[in-house]
Amino acid sequence: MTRRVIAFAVLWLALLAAGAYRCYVFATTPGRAAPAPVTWPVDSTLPRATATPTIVMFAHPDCACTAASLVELADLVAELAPRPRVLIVFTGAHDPRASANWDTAGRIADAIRLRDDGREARRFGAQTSGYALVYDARGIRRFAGGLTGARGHVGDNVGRRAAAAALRGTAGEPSHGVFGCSLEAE
Amino acid sequence: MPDLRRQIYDDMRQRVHRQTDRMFLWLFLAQWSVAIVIAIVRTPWTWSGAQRSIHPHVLAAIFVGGTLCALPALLIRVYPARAITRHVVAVVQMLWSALLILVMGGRIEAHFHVFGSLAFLAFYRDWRVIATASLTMAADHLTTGLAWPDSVYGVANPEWWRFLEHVAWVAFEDVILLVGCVRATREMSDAALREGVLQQTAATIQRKVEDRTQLLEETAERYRLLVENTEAIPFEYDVVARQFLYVAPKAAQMLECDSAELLAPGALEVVAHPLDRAAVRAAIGAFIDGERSASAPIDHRMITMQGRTIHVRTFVSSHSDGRIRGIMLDMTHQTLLESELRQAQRLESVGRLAAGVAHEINTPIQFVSDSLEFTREAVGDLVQIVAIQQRVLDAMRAGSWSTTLSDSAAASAEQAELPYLVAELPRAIDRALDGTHRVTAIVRSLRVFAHDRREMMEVDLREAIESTLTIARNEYRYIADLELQLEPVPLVSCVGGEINQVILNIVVNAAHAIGDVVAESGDRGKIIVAMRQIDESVEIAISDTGAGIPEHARNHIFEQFYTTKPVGKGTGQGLALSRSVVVDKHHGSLTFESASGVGTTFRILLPIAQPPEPVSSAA
Repeated sequence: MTRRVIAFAVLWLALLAAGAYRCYVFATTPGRAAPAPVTWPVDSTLPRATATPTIVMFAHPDCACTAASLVELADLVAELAPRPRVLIVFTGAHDPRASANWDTAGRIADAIRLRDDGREARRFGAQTSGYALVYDARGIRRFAGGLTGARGHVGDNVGRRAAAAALRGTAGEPSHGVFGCSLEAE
Repeated sequence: MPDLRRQIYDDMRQRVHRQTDRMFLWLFLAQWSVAIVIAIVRTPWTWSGAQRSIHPHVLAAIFVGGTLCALPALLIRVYPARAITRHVVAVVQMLWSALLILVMGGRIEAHFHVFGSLAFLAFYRDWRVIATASLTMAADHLTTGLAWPDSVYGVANPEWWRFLEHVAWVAFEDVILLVGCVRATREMSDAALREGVLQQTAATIQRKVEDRTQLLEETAERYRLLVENTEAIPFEYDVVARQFLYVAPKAAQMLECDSAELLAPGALEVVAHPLDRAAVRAAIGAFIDGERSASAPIDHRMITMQGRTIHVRTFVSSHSDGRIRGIMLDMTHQTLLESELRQAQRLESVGRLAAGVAHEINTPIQFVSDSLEFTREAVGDLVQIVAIQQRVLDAMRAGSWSTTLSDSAAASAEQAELPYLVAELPRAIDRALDGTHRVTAIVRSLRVFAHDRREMMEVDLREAIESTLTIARNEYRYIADLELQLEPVPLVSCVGGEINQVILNIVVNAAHAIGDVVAESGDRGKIIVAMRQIDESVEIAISDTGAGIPEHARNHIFEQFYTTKPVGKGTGQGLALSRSVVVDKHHGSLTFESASGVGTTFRILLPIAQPPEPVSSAA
């Protein structure tokens, strides 16, 4: 009986380690991202602010991980004054207005929710939900990347700090891995 | 005691550990369910454009959560209350914290699960379990903090002491929990001591109860054997249900039946003699109503299952709730003996009085004899005179009559004193007849006295008294005069022979008492026998002018074998038997009044009609 229990415990430990590893890999593996434009794309129809920095986040309407990105975005802009322009672009073929992320985005102060059929995403090199870009008032890109440290994981992280620094106009990391679902089918 | 306390303490700990094991089993299942629900609600899908697939958090909740539950569930089943089980439970509970934090997206609130888990683990009351859980938490914190610091510390670049800060908070709770564990353990130890004392006390009491119970059983058995092996038959009878609740086995033997038959409802009605049922019921009713004392026996008859009549004496000693308790005694043999004793005493009296009776008979026989002798001689003389007279008559017929012949005839008549003979001969015959009548009367009295019939019948008490006095006449004739004051009374229902015996006993005692007084003086005493009717009874009073009964003897004269007479003159049974006959058998009374130097009067009171015979009580 004891041997069987030990064998079971060993197997149990192995399964647990494998599960934990899988969770770790899933959470910490960043999504894809194409090179982001250094300046605001001229053909973009998104309304950039000219007096304040603008932060653009591309979001999949149904991505659960993006909820964490939106929480971080809300915390981020709440601590800034003056407020930057916040553009949240929901990319995808179907109407995002019935999604939870649309509602969450609506609770961010002064955030502008926009719909995109994918063209704006391509212009900004966004391939993963939660991908955020910070442009200063002149339209120069200051940051590109995710605002969470892992998929669906809220809390302080390098990406959010870098974005905050970019919005304040101070020095910071120019990019950070983005953690979320793919905006387009891979 | 220390061993017992240790054992109780270990049992208590085992019980606590088993209960906590079971609690964690349910907690794991609950956490598993909650994790799955949270994952499905929060992160049901992961997307790739418009394509979706199950979110890895859902899979992690199902499979990693299931895996987490599996090992402790196995150990709780296989090794319940073991240390290894508790420590694995502690490790798994802390890993559950990690999984729940993961599926909840690292929300800071989810980290409170760690502190809650430690509190739950404190239910084991084992500080080592708290230590294992804390070390597990620290190890997880350290490794995850190194690999993925913002998931643990909430910041991307934590300070070097942040790990220590988190551990310190856990240690703070640990201190509280450890103090709680130590106190709980101490309380458990104290409780074990108290329970040990209680158990020991209970065991002592149990032993005492067992000893007492055994003693009681032995005593009960001893009493049962004692009671059931005596002639007394104890019983308990339910008057309302008319059923014996208990009756000693000897009753079955006495009534020639099975014990079960006696315990059946109505059994008493079956075995009670038909003529005695009503009287027995009345006696029991009187006892229950307090009108009859517990010491008063109820004498009655029973019919055995074989149809044999037996005499039983019952004492009812107590009653409650319609139940009476008492004993029965088989008096059949004693009743027979008493009857035989009474008869024997009567015959003994006859024998004892035989000399007197013989003397009584001798006197009339003597003058019968004398009269017959005289008659014989007179008849001889008359025959001689008749012969001479015949010769004279023959000579005269033959013509040879002579004066010589007639002178001879006249001389013989003169010689035989013929006128005297003519005058005395009838008297002599009368005297002989009188003597014969007197003998006949004495013999008749003797027959009346020795009456052998033992059943109740209508008796002429005057005849009984006179017959008895005739028999006893020789006892008093020389020392006392007899005076009869007999009023006419109805026939009385009694056993004649036994009443005669009672009268004889008292008269003989009276004669003896008078004899003691007049022995020296030569005076004569007096015996008065009186009889009269008082309501529905007849009283016979026998008085003497003796010295009276001594003061100290008055309370004992009816006791058997008690006598104030010298050895050989009295046996001490006369008055005891007399009382038994009058009181027990005839439902009458026998009393006396005595005054020293004046005399004694005994009063026999007999009811004219007797109740259904032979139920009696000696109240």
